[in-house]
Amino acid sequence: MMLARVSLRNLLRHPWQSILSMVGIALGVAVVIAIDLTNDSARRAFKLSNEMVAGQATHHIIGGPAGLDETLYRDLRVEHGLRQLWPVVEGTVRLVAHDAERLSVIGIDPLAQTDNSAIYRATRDLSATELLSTDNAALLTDATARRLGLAIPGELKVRGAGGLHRLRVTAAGKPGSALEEQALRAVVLTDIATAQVVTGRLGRLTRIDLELAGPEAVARVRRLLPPEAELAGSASRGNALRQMTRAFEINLTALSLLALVVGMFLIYNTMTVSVLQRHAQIATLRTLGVGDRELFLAVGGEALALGVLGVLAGIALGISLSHQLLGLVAQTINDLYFRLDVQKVSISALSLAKGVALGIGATVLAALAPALEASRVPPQITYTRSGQESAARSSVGRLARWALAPSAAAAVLLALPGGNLYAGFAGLFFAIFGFALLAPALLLLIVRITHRGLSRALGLIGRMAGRGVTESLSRTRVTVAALAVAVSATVGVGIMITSFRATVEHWLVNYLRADLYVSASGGAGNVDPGVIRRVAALPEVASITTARWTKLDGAAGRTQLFVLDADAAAFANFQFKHGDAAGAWPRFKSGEAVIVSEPYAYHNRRGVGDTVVLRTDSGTREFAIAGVFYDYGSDRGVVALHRDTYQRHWADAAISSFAVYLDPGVDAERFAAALERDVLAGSGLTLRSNRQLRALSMDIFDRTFAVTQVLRVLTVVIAVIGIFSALMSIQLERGREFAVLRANGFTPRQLWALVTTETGLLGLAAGVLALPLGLFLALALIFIINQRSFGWTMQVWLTPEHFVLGLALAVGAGLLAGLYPALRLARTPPSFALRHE
Amino acid sequence: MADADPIIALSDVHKIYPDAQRERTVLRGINARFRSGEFVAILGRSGSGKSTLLNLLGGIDLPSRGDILFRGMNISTLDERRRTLFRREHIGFVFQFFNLIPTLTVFENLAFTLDLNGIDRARAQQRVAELLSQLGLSDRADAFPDRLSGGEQQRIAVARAVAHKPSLVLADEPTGNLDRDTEHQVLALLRAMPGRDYTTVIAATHSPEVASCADRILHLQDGALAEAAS
Ligand SMILES: Nc1ncnc2c1ncn2[C@@H]1O[C@H](COP(=O)(O)OP(=O)(O)O)[C@@H](O)[C@H]1O
Ligand SMILES: [Mg+2]
Repeated sequence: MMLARVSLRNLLRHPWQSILSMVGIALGVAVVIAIDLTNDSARRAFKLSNEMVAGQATHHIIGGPAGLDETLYRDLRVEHGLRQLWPVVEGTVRLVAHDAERLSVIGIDPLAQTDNSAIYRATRDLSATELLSTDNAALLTDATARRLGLAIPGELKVRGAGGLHRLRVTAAGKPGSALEEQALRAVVLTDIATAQVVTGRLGRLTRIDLELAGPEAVARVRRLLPPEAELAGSASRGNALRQMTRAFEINLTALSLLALVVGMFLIYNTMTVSVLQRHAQIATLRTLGVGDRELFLAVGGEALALGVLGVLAGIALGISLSHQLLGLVAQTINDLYFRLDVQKVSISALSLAKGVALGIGATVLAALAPALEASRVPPQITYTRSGQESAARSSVGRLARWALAPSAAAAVLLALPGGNLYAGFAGLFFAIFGFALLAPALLLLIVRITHRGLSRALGLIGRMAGRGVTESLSRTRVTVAALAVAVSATVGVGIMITSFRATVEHWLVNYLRADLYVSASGGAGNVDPGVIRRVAALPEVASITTARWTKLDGAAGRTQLFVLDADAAAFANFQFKHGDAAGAWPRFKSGEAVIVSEPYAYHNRRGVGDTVVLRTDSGTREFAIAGVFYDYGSDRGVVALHRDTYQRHWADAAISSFAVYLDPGVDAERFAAALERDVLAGSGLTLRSNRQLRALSMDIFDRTFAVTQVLRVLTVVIAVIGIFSALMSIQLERGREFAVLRANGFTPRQLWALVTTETGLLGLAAGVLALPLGLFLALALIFIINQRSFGWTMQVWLTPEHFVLGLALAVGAGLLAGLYPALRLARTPPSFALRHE
Repeated sequence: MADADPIIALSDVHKIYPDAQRERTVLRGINARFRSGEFVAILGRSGSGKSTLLNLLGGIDLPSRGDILFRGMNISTLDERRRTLFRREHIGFVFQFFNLIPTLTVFENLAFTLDLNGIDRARAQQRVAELLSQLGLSDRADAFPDRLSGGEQQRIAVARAVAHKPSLVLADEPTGNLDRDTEHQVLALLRAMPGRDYTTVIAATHSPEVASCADRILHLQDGALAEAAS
């Protein structure tokens, strides 16, 4: 149809605007798709590694922190005649050759396997005899062997909780599929005994997988279990672990949606300005008999065309971006949650479809208002620009009043009791929307406030620039609102990260009071008690506290335990949110009570006076909660208990790390060097000074927010691009007006000053508006979103940098956007512009 | 002047604009009938309400009071959608500022109303080619409007207004923006455009040249329409 041709030509006539708003949507969609693909890939990798050994098992038996006694397996098989069950020992080792390389050791019973899980399939050809015929035999996949540069047969030197060991790799298996290949990428397969030795779990099993048919079989096995063991469905383990990263994923998704919202404001901005500029043309079309519905569809179609092209570009961009983000996300999951090897982005059609739907949806939503505006243009040729502008001015108050509705919705959603995370995000987006409606009123206010200063500084041009903004209010209000929203997003996220970082840093200073920290490498092992005794005996050492990090798996999920043998002084390092060190200490020490971290209390809805139920070696047991302490180390939360309490209930004396307090006056650095040389050399233990440990913690923190920072930068790019094009088109439209000025003696230089002053003023206004909105976003992110995701209390840390940066960004975008039109207009002879309007 | 079968007739038409402070009554009780095929000039000072009257006749705007009957059908009671369809089919507009669609070529501008009226492509092309050759502008078919002179643009605008053979062409100051020579060309075209036998032309103007071509001249003054003594 001819109308479609009009639309198409309009897009082609302003190629830069069209391309830039397409890029806006493309980047928005790319970010959404990239995050979704990344999350999805991590999820798949997790599922795969989880299923890899589960095979046909329907259930598994889990024990306490030290696992299960292996006699349980024998009893079940021999005395109770169970057949479909498979013992597993799992642990982590480091390669001595490459310290950064960690491998999962999985010990199985080669004779028991009639299983069809990936790991067995991968090594099927090698048969059980391979593992049984050699001592310390191990299997890898072909690809892993190649990656490690290992010739087959060969030897792999590893360090696990059981010390240094040599594994004889007798053969390499070939996985059945690329997915299995990926799942087995960092896995060494051994028999049970070898795995026990290497991981330091002599006589223990990590779990027993079983295939149970029907509730009777389940009930029967339950009755046979010792008190420390629990029977859980195979799915529950995965679910419980998956639950851990959920909040992290949701947060990334929300930030990616924020980028899309910014992109949406840009399409809205482009289309609205374009419709306003075509008012006369649309009126002509109306007199020719084009109906309102057709116009609505035409403008909607233009936006949709941009949207579709943008979405297509966004898919390609998103896929390549996801490759960049995957490493960052995988790193965070490994740092914070659990060991996960993700190498490949798995491109799921669902993720792409989601991105497409969101991109198109956002475009349609953004095009709604301008399309409606176009359909409402009366067929009257007597239209005047000044009429449009006075309508814009008279609607300022109305729009501001309309802002009440979304603001109220935002307030309700954000304050909603029960603290739903999604409601929080919805509230956030409503707040942004409400603010955008308020922007025109604030814009007028800012122009009024700056009027005198501009006039004094730049004279006539200053006065004209201010007037130019209000005289084009129909256009400028849209652009300023869009720019303000975009800039506020980066200001808000920036403040949130800074506040979070400062909170954690502050917390670490108080929390880490010892001079030195010694830990088993990368958590892949235990500390030899002999080492601790030797260190404690050194004259410079005032005291030592040991810690053990372990987890209790159960059908209901995973509980992180933090076991420490602190004295009253070390205990006082905890910073309590509820309860206090002095009051909690006696009960903590006596074993009557535990203390829990803030996220634990939040996620489990527990507080001081409630109890925590833990499965001990002698069955489940209740512990009172004596306090809730601040902790930013784990977002799912931890339960802290005294070592005496722990060893009373669990037969596990392992130690993960210890902290050394030195006598006053001892030079910590010299002492550390000596300790490293005389005691720790060859022990596989890592020594860190207080400062190093703090730096390491902050490194992990920064890595966690690396993705967020990437998203933030992309959001800014989207914003600057969109605003640039909008401001440019507003200025280019004024060719005639400027030609009149030129004809009346304005020099090109003056014109240039006028245009850039005006766009700079618009940028400034947007920047100023972005500051309160950015602060609001930050507060909402800190007190509502993060609180609801993770249960953390954060202090708000307001440093000027984000405000200054936001302002600079907005003003910079404004000035930059003025340059091209100013140059072009200044070069155009006035006669030409006058004739061609 | 009595005609049993006018193409369009106004009875007691009022137009009051609700201004910010007070109402502005622009038309106060217009009664008029226009026959098929006649060329009528409406003269009046700037601000006298000529454009307002044409807008009412074309169904662009609605009277505050009174009826406008197009072939017996009261267009002032039609809803927005119906009035749009009415315009599309029966009305052709010519404005002072040419008002061609800048993103369509000359050819496409002419084909536009044909397309809107659902005329098939082959016939539309034939009709446009015919119009262009009558205007002597066949060689400009693929040019965009901003490449044409004012006179050429206005001739295209006139051709566009008649392309779909409307019953009524409403021309609002059609020569207001043209010099003398081009004014003559456009006027000649308006008078003698193809198929003029069936088409009524009502032109609002304050140009005596336009008036001199008209079959009938009406004066709009103080919101009332008066036949000029001829
Ligand atoms: N949409 C409108 N709203 C308010 N007043 C209008 C509107 N359109 C025209 N007028 C006023 O009505 C009067 C007649 O205008 P118009 O019909 O354009 O006169 P003409 O075409 O004869 O110059 C003028 O005073 C004009 O200001
Ligand atoms: Mg007029």
